Amino acid sequence: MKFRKTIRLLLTFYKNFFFFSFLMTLICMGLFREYGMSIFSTLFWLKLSTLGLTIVVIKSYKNKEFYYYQNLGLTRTFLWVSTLGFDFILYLFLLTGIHLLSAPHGIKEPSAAGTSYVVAHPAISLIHNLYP
Amino acid sequence: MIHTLEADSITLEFGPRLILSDIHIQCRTGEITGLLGRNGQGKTCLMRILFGDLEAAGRSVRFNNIPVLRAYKHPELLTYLPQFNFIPESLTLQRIFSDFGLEFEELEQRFPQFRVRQKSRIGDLSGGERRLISIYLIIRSRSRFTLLDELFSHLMPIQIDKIKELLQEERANKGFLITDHLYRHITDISDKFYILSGGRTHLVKETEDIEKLGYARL
Repeated sequence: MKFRKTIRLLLTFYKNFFFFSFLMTLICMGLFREYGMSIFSTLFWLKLSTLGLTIVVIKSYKNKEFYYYQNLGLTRTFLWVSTLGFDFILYLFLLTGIHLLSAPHGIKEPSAAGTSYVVAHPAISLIHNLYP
Repeated sequence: MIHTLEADSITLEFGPRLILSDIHIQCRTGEITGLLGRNGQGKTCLMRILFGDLEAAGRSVRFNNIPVLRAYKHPELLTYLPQFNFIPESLTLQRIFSDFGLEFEELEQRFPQFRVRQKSRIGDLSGGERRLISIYLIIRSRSRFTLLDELFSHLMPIQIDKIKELLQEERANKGFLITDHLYRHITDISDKFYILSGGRTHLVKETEDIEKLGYARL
């Protein structure tokens, strides 16, 4: 019961910035699909900075609401770590998914001669073998 | 069994200004303790220090002589009503009462204006109604002690009387530390009260002390 209540409170808090954060995730997914691994580190830091911006905005506009959660035993640190942690893991999961789906025959790797060749990703190869 | 909440050795400075320096305050379950003081004397700061939400250079906050620096991690020990609305506006009354483990019907009986309104969002209520809901929740919360900041602000006189009744009932279960500028209500219901002046707490022994300490003209 307490676990369910905690999850419900976390979802309430997460709703404060879910739409903005998920929009950023979708934009990053689109860019990653277009430009691939070369843009990964930029997208990584872009997402982290938007999460930082989220903290600043929520602290400015929703600061008073933290007392609601505190009176129910949820500290500020717990709220931030849980929701931002989940959001970032979701982001990495979706980026990995888009990476696997957008490279039907595997991952492009540069060769010594400067041209690129494709190394079949085991998961993709398996899917292709099962569903040719 | 009687439980105690005690705080002393608190030092709070904002830049060069010393806000709190010589504090000793004690609350017990079954009692209502009042805290009076002029604006800017540090009443809210003191409550936030007790709650653990505000860092102070020095502080000792103890529950039954056991130090607890961050009481907000233990809602079974202490809950805090800030002087502003703190309930997320999107939540319905039903959801809020479920979060606090309280029966909505009890609120309906005591305050009939909320009858059949459990589906209303807190953001749709008037300022006074929101305040009333916040006060009710925190007074009825299942903790040993409760801090109530600016308890009677924004309430109608008839609601103030009902809140005083509620406090008298709930004191059997917990201890209260309350503050408000409507000091006659505070002195009416408190078993003892302190005046915060010059960074120090003064336990008031005679009502004349209120005037001597420069808080009000009697």
